[in-house]
Amino acid sequence: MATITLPDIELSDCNLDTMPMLAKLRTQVMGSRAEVCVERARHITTYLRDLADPNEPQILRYAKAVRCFLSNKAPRFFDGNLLAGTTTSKRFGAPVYPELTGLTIWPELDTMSTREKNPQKLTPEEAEELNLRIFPYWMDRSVLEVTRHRFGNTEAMDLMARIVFFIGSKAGTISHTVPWYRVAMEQGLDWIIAQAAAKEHVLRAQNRSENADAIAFYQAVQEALTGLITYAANLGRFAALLAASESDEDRKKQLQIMADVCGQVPAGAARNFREAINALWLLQVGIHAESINMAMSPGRLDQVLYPWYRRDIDGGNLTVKEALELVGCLWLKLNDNTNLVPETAEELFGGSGTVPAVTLGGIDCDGEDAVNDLTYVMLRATELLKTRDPSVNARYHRGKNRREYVRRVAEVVANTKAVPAFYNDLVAIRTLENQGVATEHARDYAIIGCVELAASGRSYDASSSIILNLVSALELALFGGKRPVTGDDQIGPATGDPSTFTAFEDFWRAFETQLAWVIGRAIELNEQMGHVHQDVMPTPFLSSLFQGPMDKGKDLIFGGALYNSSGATHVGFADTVDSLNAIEQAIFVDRTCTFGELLDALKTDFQNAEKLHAYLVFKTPKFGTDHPAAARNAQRLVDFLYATYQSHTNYRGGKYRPAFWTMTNHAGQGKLAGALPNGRKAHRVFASGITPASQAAGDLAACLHSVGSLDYRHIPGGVAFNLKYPALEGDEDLDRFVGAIDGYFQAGGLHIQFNLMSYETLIDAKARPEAYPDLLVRVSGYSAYFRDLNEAMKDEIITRTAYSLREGQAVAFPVDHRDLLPFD
Amino acid sequence: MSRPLVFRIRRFSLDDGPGIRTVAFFKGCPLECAWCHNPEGKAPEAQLLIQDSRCIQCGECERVCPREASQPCSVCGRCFEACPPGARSLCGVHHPVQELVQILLKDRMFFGSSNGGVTFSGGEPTLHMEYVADVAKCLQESGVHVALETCGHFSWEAFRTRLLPFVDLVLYDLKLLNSAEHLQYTGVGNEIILENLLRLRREKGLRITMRTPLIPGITDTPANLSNLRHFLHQAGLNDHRLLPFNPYLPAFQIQGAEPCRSTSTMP
Amino acid sequence: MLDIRPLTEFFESEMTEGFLELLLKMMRLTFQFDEKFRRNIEGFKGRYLFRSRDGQLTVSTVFANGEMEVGEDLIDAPNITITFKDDKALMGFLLAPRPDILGAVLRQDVVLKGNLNYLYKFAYMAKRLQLMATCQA
Repeated sequence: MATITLPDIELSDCNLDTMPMLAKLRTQVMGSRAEVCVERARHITTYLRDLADPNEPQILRYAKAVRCFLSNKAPRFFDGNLLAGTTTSKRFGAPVYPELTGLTIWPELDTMSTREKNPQKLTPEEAEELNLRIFPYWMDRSVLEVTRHRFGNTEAMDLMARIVFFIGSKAGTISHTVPWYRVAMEQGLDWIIAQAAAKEHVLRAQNRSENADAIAFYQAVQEALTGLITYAANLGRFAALLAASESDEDRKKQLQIMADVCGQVPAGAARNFREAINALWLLQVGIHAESINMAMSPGRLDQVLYPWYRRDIDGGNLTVKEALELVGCLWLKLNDNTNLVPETAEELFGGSGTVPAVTLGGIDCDGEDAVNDLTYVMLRATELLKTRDPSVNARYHRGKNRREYVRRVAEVVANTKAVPAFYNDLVAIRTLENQGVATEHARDYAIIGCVELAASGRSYDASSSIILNLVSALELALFGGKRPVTGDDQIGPATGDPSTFTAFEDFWRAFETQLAWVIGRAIELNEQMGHVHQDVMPTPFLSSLFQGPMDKGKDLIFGGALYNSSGATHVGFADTVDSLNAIEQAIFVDRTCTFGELLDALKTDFQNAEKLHAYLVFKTPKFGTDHPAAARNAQRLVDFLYATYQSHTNYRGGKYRPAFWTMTNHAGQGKLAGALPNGRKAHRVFASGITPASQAAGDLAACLHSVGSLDYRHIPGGVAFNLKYPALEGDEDLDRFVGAIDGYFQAGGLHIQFNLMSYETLIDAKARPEAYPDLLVRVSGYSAYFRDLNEAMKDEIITRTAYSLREGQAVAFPVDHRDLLPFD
Repeated sequence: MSRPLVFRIRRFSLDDGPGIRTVAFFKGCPLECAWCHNPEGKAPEAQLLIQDSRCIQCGECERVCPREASQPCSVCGRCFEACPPGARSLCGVHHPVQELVQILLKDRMFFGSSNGGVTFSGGEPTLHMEYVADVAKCLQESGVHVALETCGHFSWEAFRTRLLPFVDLVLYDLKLLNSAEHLQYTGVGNEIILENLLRLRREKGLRITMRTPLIPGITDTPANLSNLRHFLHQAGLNDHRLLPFNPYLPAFQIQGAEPCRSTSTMP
Repeated sequence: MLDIRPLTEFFESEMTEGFLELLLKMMRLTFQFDEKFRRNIEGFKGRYLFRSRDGQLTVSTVFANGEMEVGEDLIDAPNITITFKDDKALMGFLLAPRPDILGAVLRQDVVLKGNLNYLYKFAYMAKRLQLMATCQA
């Protein structure tokens, strides 16, 4: 257990005025425009196409391609940041991963630099290189196409192509994990390479054919890690070169230090805080040579970096302010890259960062308070910089963490208006234990990307494997296996015409049948793509930074980690639950209408059914109001998903884990769904994550209680609960803010995050984006700049219920903008 | 007294005592304040609230209404049940003691960490001394902090013996020190109120917070405020809060045993 | 030098009928006359099948040996089949400056079956042609 030695945990003396270096870097980062970086695609493609030995195992070829890229990666120093290393060759770069979905930008190569929404700059030379030399090689080799070639144009593949049922994310990413950087920082990569070489040597000596895969794995680890060592050496040499010609004395000194740092890490052990933090950053750069930049989460940095921090502070070799500057540099470095996004994907996914999640606070492996001085340093960095990334998450153990800690986190939320998110340690740990994670490992959990739980560096969770639209199953049940958006095609099983159903159970069964069918297809495709990843894109670099693979001689993608799982998240939870409630209440309890009448009203989007519509909106039970029927249906759906997913074992030997976080999918999928029984009109956004439908749950206490009372052991993939307060001012508000979190956690809640802004502010920000360039919002897991979001997503954030902390009630939605509401 | 009716339960409330509180509002009030903020709490009987902004003019309420045009509304509740958008709601529900206790305990999770609890308000909760005492006793036994909001116009003996033992904090409203003015604006003189207050301050272990709503031209006059300050200081009641004036804009009409009436009673 | 005026007029007009035929024809001609544009199909093998939803129109396009062949018959083993509602929908899908992907899904304007990477390449070439025709490239 760490003691707090900071005289002022707020570090109020340190701000952007007293740290002009951070202020300047921040301005540069906020002002930089995204540029496509082809460097990685160039070297990986060239190696695999022209240089690789076709007789070598793929894992070795791929590792050598990664090494080739890292060894040739240009050393760049774009600004005055104190950390050496860049994710791409551009100041703010979008790297191309042609193995995954890189080719989706092909149609836009000539136009994406100038497109209206979130342009990504590409020079004509780079566009030509992608068009003529890089993309052609991958046309039949990307993960999705190899899957199609091997397994055929399956029903699952067709279903995914329709966009509106599920997304099999493995076509675009696995990533989404929390590596174990500690060993690489404490021992150095040379040490890991030596370990791999020794193991390879032992296995070779045994001369057994079944050792071939493990031997190839250990060889691949050595190759891939050597690549990063070469890159760091190049960085060091270049820093020294720059230092020699630098006229600014301060910068000259910093460049010299960086040259020294790169001479030591990541090859050798980090000897001080600066080397440790730079080593960590270089490792983060290194894993992106291999895996796409999506939700690669550094984890519990206040724990990982603490030994070096403590030693340097105690030894008088580091001041708190210097530590804060270095942490700030890391935070800004984590913003140096973005995802490559084709215009067509903007509408479904726009505005997202790369979501490297940092996790702070909570308890340690022994169950003691883990909050330390560095926790507060990192909170201060988050508070001052207010950047989209890293996504900062605060763990809170109600028994062990002190009141001043949670109040301080609340203050940071008050000042950033959006971050960090809060996690309930008691519930998160219990949930992971229920998944078979050992207690000491569960206690060391960290957040992946948006909200997912990982046993840091021990579990490989592929937490974003499936994004499934619950409303699609609901509509299939309503229309006997068809959906309005897919017309007359019989998509799902024929579960019958609901007008013939005589009991709510009949409908529930039809719904479960459709849902299980969609889930089955999604899992089938995920399994196929998982096997293709094993063949096409193994990850020896990443594997060497986990517990498990180095002992087992097995890559993560083959199940090398200590724990394995696949995550499936769900879109449209509240709308689906409320629709089930409405069907039960309207047709089978109140008998307000027949099923036939309801279906007719849905088909016409409630035209000429105003009375029925009003009844459905105002008189049927809503999730988030403590209504017992709504609570029952919500839990029943959670339990059904849990049982269905947990009955499946993935290609790595782990279980599927259901989750409820939606990024921006609830806005996009909402646009594609018809009217729903809860009164939501056609083509309106869905509610986000696990959040009750906008404007449906007017009472804050009931809302917190309802969401908090779900059984989270059955939601091991994590949830995003988005709450909005118009303002948070003064100590009294802060007390109540903390009180609300406390109560929600006591009820059993797992996660909660906030936007502190009023309807009026958000409406104005939509009308005048230029006036709000830096407005940071929580979407449904990650943070985004409001200006970057698509229109549907902006509307969804605007319409989210805002609660007055003083009255505990929903604030009235502005009358003039009621047309934005889902049910108006 | 008719059976006690609760017309609202406000959860997560800030303005009714310390911390996060759940407030139960009782119907019936001995005062008739000109500025009343809870007009639906005045009458002790059940009433019907009509929220015009939600009405979709579907005519369902008229269809199910059993009364003749000349008859007053008997609050039978049929239109409330039938109204599709829920524009009509019943104001005043009777809960058996244990039921109300359970409802109030639902939010316990917010009380502990914020030093909050339950507040009884109204209307005037002391009109239902026995009932409120029974509920308060159960709450106290469950470790919940109990506050009472009162206008002070109650029978001292019944209050002291029956309800006071189960109350941790009294939020005592004092509007006007001059009894004639008090009579003019609230319908009763303030003698009983002042007398009860002076008795109450002698109770040991009880916290009293004095509250005065600032009504323009009525209670916020320099004379009244200075007199109040002086009086409370003399009485040793130093926790005095002035509640800012919120113009009351009724979101609904009230209909009930009495004929429909306008609620725009602001001076 | 190839006269691409018909295409220019086409792109600048509001009409869409016959879009696909014209696009394929101009593409083929441009490959013959424009060396730089021809580099797009050097060494490229791809089989495309375009079909209108009402079954009235079937057009196949085969790239092989640096050449582009257009036919009106069904072909075996296309890399991708593009079924479109009408010419307007197809043109919007391939060339709109701000593609309305959600709208296209909602209206089921274009249904794709097969390897999308082939579509991406084709869309790039079509867009390139559009830029050349409207003098932006």
